[in-house]
Amino acid sequence: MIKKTILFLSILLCLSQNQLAQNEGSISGFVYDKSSGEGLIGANIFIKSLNRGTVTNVTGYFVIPKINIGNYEVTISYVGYKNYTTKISLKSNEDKFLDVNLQQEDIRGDEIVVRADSIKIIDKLFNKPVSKIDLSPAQISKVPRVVEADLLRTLQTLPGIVPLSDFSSAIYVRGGTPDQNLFMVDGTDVYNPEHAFGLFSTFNTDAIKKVEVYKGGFGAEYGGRLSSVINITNKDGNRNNFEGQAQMSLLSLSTTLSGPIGDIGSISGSLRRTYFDQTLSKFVDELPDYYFVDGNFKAFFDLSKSNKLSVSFFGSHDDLNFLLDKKRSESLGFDYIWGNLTGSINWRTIFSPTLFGNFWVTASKFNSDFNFTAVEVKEKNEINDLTIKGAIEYFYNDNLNFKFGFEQKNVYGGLKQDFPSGKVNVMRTRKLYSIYGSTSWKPTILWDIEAGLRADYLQSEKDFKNFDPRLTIKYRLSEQANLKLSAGMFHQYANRIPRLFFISIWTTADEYVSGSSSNHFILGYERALGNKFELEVEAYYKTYKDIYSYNQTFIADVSPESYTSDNIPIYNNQKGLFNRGDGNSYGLEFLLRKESGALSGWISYAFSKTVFTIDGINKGNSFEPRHNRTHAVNVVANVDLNNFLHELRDEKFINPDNKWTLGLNFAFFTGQPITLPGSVYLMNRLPDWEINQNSIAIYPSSINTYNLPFYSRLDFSLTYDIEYDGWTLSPYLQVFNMLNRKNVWFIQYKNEVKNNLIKQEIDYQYMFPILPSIGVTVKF
Amino acid sequence: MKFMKNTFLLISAAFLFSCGESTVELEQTYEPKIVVNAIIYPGQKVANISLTRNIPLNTQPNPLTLFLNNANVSITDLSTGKIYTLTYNAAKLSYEYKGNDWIVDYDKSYKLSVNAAFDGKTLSAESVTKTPRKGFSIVDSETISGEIYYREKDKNNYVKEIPLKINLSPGTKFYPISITALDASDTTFIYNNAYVEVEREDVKKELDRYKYMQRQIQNVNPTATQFKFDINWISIWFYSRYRLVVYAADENFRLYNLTYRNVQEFDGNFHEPRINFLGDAIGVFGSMIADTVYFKVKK
Repeated sequence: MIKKTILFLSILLCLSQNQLAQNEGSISGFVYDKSSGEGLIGANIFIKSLNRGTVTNVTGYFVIPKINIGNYEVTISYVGYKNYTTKISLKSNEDKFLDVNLQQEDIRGDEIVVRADSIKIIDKLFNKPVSKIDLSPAQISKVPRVVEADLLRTLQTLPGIVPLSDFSSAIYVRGGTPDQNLFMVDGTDVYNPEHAFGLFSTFNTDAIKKVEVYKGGFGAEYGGRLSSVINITNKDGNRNNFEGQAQMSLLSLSTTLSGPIGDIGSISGSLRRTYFDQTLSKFVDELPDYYFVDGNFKAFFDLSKSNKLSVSFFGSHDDLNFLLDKKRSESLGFDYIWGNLTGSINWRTIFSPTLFGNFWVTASKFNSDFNFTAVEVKEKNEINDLTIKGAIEYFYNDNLNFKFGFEQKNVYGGLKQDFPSGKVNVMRTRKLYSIYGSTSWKPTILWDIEAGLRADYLQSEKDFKNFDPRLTIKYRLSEQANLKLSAGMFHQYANRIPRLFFISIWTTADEYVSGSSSNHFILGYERALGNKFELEVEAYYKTYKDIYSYNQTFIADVSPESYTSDNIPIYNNQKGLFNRGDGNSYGLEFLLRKESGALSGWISYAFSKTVFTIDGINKGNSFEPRHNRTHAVNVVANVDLNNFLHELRDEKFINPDNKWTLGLNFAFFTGQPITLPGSVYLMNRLPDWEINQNSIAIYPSSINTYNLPFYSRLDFSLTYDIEYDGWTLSPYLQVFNMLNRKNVWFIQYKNEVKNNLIKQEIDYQYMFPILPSIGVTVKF
Repeated sequence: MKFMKNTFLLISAAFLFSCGESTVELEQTYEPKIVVNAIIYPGQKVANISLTRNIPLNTQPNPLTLFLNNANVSITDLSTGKIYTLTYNAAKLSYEYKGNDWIVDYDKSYKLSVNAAFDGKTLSAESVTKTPRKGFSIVDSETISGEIYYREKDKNNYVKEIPLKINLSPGTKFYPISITALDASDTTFIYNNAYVEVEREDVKKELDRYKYMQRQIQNVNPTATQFKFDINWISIWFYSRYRLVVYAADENFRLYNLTYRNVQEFDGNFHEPRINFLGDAIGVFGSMIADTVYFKVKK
């Protein structure tokens, strides 16, 4: 494998060197944030006289190859930053290397900033992969929140991404289930990105540099999941100055610090901890002792002009100790501890100006430990993932470039349980080998065609081999509109068992559960509306084959493979744990977005329909899954109150030291499909029992044929920024569900037999009521 | 100005939709079903076959129509093809076989057929059970009996287990255990239990919840002939005489018993229990062998 990789790289290197022998030159380099030295992802580089340009990759690197010798004016731009224009004189066979530092735009300056990009909105949209949305930490933190800023809850405001309820940060992307989303932090897979039973995600937004969200049709470089990729890049750290940020909310304290390591790099770290176990829990007996802590650490080393190295760690830890009655010796209660620990080493190298390499060694570990002494139940759940991967980008010329890559994943993990009448021991080792290649070809300025192929080989009790072709075609319809078409095949070899208040368990394909597959077909239309607004419309159709749904009656279907000496069953397989099924989703999404100015944000509407057919459910007939939301509307607005009227009147922006910012978030979803209690009946659990108060059983209605009422919510935030001597103090007020709408989560149906009468009671379980919270952020 | 108007309209709509309360209509979910609670026991005559109807939500059933007393009910011995018609016993509110020519046999398949009319509909259903094989019994010598103190300790000061040992029925993989406190009341409740504080009022309200307990043994080694199981003290909530019944249950009962009470998922949605009926019935037609011991828990 290594030999072949070296041979392949050598060939590419030769090709890229030959390319330099032509009577042409190239321009390459990195684009950085001037104040922090962070590489900027997706910055635009444009040579106006040639009408040629490119964007920086995930490291901030760019190259424009095969440029005829001559004098050019190159403009580099990035949203929120001042444009930088430089003149260059390109000589024969010269590789002009540019290190560009862009300065952040101060929108409160004298100039009215309509748009920071020199590149047109429509060109920016054209360069963007289909179904991709980028989010910056500022955008994430501006969305009103449930106490804490949360990446996943921000994603839930985007078209095509819906939540199941207020109580879960899990995301359902275009009809897919949460286990079909790939989360990566600095190239490392994160398996269970949840704190507090799913209420919050483990991603500390202060540490994030950029989030790339692919809702479908993603390129061959991504695999292993059917529905989406959420690629999170953390900050490298400030290479010029020491800087920091601290935040206190009602839930947690957090801090992020970063600074230079001499001239060779930077270091960045963040830490967050909840504190109610040290406060409220000390005084209120009913509250469990619970806290979570998470942290990131990243060191970036500028080894040379062509070699960059970063080392990144991420850890999270949740600790819950619950006792129903703290005075009892063997009180009903449990200890539950879980957490993630990930690490990665990333080497980025420029072999030649047209050959860029990116290599990782990543490790990801998740484990949980549960102990319920009173009923003699113990559980250990773990997953360990060691991955080596590499990606090569070869820029043959302006119109043709190639990407190649490999990934080798070694995963060990599973579940161990001990309970009085059985044991579970499903610990498995898996090896997944993946290679991919893709090419991007621009036959004319109007067209961009990207075709790729990914091949997977999973070694398990049963081996799986699959080839996933991917194709994206982009076409410029006019100077203001683009058309995009994408189709692809996707495979997944892992499934997640969701559990009430418990961390989900990941399992992998084997002789009982085969790999899942999905086909995506996406048609997109993009339009620039003036020079402020961008409109994206996408229609999609997805198929699912061999998807696995957690078997709600698995207890009746599991079967042991071995037994202890006491004849107690040991469950060593996942037979009966899942129900196999197929399905499809289709939908239409509208996104109107404005990224700059005193009013920024987006309005989105999504229509979607998902139908599953799962063996053993609904007698094998198709049904709409619980997460199907036919209509979804989101409005996210962030208003600079000091300049809002100035922008409306086309007046100059003012630049006060103290600034008010208003955030609004409105969400509307069609009610979810639900199975209701259909009727009740008398039934004694065991024949020797008399009819008693618990002898009423519920029989459900037809599966998911009813709908909950619509869900709607308005959130509000108000932030006051006070600047003084380089420090910014920002107290804020957040109000979640400010009009206190009572959105039904589900129906709790209770009944009992009393005095020969059946007493029935229906309780509506509502989602979050109005939740005000306050906090403060300090930046220095 | 136009922008301001649109913004105002948008915010007004958001306000309008973001207040109030939502409710769910439950009236339309009912579908009539015959509710079958039918267990047959090898070595015994068929009796206590209960047929009722399901009840729409939020309604009080009419006792006169709750029990289906005019249904056609029969059991077919699938090995001989002979059909045994059951008749209604008004005193017991259930169906039984009145003849003396038939005793349920071990390791045999029987089909229950029911046919009943109500709500203007004629409903029918059938289900097959295979009775457990002979051999099941409680091993009295190694099972709790007599008297035991609550959480009695051994000479090493460890809390003694409540032992149960059974002879297994070959091929049977499910053994539900019924633990019933025969003297359950709010005065006999163990308030100083080791687990949780319970108020007397709550005991009165939830008496049956503590009185009837089920544990189960499932998927034991099929090559084993005996199985030992310790009953956890968390099953004991009263100073009382206890009846301990262990059943060797067939597949129908196993599937139904394990799933029929847990039909609500953690997100509130409901799902179907595992019912082996063809047609318009819910419930269970199962077969079991039962054995019983008694013991007393003292203060």
